[in-house]
Amino acid sequence: MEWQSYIALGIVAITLVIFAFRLFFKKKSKKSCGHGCGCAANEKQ
Amino acid sequence: MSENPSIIALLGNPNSGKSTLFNALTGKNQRVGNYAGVTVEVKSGETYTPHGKKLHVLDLPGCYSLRTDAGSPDEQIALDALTGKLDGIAKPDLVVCVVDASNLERHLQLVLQVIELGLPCVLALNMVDVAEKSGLRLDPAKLSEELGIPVVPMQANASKGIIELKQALRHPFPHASEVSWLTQTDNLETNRRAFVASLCELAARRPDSQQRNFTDRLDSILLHPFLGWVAFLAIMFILFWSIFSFASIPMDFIDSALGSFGEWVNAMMPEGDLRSLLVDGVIGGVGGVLVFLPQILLLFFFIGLLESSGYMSRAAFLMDHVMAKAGLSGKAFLPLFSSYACAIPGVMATRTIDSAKERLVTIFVAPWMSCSARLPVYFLIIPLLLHENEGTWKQALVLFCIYTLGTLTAFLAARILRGKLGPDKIVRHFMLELPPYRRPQWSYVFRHVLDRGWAFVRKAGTIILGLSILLWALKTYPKSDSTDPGEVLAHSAMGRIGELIEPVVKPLGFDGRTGTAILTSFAAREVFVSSIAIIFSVEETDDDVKNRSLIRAKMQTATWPDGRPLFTSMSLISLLVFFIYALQCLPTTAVVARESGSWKWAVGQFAFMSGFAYLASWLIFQTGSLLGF
Repeated sequence: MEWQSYIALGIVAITLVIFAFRLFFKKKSKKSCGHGCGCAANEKQ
Repeated sequence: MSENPSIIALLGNPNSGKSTLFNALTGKNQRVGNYAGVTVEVKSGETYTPHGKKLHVLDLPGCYSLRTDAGSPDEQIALDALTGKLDGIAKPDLVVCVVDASNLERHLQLVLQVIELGLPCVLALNMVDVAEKSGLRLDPAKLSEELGIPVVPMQANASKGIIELKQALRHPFPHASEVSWLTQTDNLETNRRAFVASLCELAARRPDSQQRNFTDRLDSILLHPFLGWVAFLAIMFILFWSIFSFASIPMDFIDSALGSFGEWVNAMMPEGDLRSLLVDGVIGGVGGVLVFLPQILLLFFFIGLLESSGYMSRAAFLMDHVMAKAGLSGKAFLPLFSSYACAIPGVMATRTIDSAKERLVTIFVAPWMSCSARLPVYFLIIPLLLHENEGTWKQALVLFCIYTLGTLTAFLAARILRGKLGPDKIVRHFMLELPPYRRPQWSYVFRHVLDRGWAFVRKAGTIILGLSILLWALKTYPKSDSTDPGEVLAHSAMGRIGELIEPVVKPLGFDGRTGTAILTSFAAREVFVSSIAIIFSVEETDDDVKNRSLIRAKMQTATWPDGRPLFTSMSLISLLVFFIYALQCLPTTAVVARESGSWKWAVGQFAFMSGFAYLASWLIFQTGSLLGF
């Protein structure tokens, strides 16, 4: 494998780890969807 | 004096300018609009007195009264917040009652109820400019004397009177006023009305003859039984046409800039996986979605204009009759209209609806109002369907029809569901505030547009970027020794997933590649565009790419293995229909579960809408195919 393949695979692996972290560990505020759509993110209910 | 900051609650009728005042006091950017029911939950912020003492400010939902048998959730939230029954929020030390000075007769009723609760109170006499223009002669000193509380005249949208209000919030806070209007008669309501009437005669005298003002004259057209509808349809059509036509210039610019950037990366890097990841995965995937940014910005600009000018309430008034046919009231119009931007604030806005059954039905059908996340998909498919470049009136008409189809189906479903749930035990009447027409607050309109634009860009730079990278990996690995792009794709993980999905999506007119793109769009609808861009990309570019979207060009030339075109008119219509009806937004499902108080509703809604989307697409494609289209 050439150097480009290693870096590309590394980027894919990091992306997978971030997605897994977001899915299983990151707690979202119950007050909003966490997607910045204007649905009262970070506001106290 | 306690060390904790004192709590100040902003309370008032809907559309009295509470959120504008809240923003002016706290420097926040809470959403405001010239129609009732913009704030549906308690917002908090901080401000300082002229002596530097920190104050905790609560913006409560607008309400007309503080009944103990509150019908709507927003009224109950306001009452609970004032009495210290809301979890995590202490009882306020002072209530700033925000009233519309041009409409004191109604707004003062709520002020009296706050005083009756025994809470210290300051009256923010907002919109004095509007009151003065209508010829009203205000006497704030007399008001203060009669009510026994400080009164501050102000114009919150121009930040006039803010300093005076902060002066009134200095320690020590005023004591709770004496209740002087409760006589021996048992009927509280009658006592309050009589007191307010006498108060207005003293402190807010109207001119002898009522003149027809600008709002009255404009309403004679915009609320006319016939002309009002003509105006409504014209406004909606202009909105959709503008989104298509005005956005084409910046879209072409973004498109060509991304194309040039991709070519530059191609030229600067040797051939390899990293170059392919950057050009085909990142630039192709993220760029394919970013190109629709101008249209998203235009949509929110027009929604902001309608909200800020005061037209939105007129639209709700006109729609009340139509909503009644769907078993809903005009109160459901604003949540449903908000859902055109995003279903989540739309679902939350249903808190203004008194009837629990009507609220549930509105929540259930809200995702069928086409949200802005669907727009990139529509913008990709419609020009392909019409074999045109972007920006024609025909495309605007098709987009208008798409929105109409979603809306009509939502109304039909609402009628059926409302019938199943049965009538309410208490008959509730539809009351709506018709605010005066105002010049749009440009600062808020543009800030709202920028916020939403930034949210879109951030989504493209996070979720869509991540999914684009993963999709590229699925399309690239495991690697094949073949040089034929078709064989390489078939050998890849994505090709294998597509093969698995194909029997399920083939009856809808899609192949496995389109099926895979649809599957990825359940994470976020816009991802469909980047998935298609990644799945159908090729390394070469030619001159035609500069004149039309690269993705559409690839879709136009895509074929089934036997050489038939993959995207026919019927399969494109089937695809559009699928996206109109499918609920491909997990955050919406989570918010529906919270607002309806049950995951059963949310899961049931997801299953029903996905199943309905599948059946509708199947029906359209199969019927069209049988008829020879």
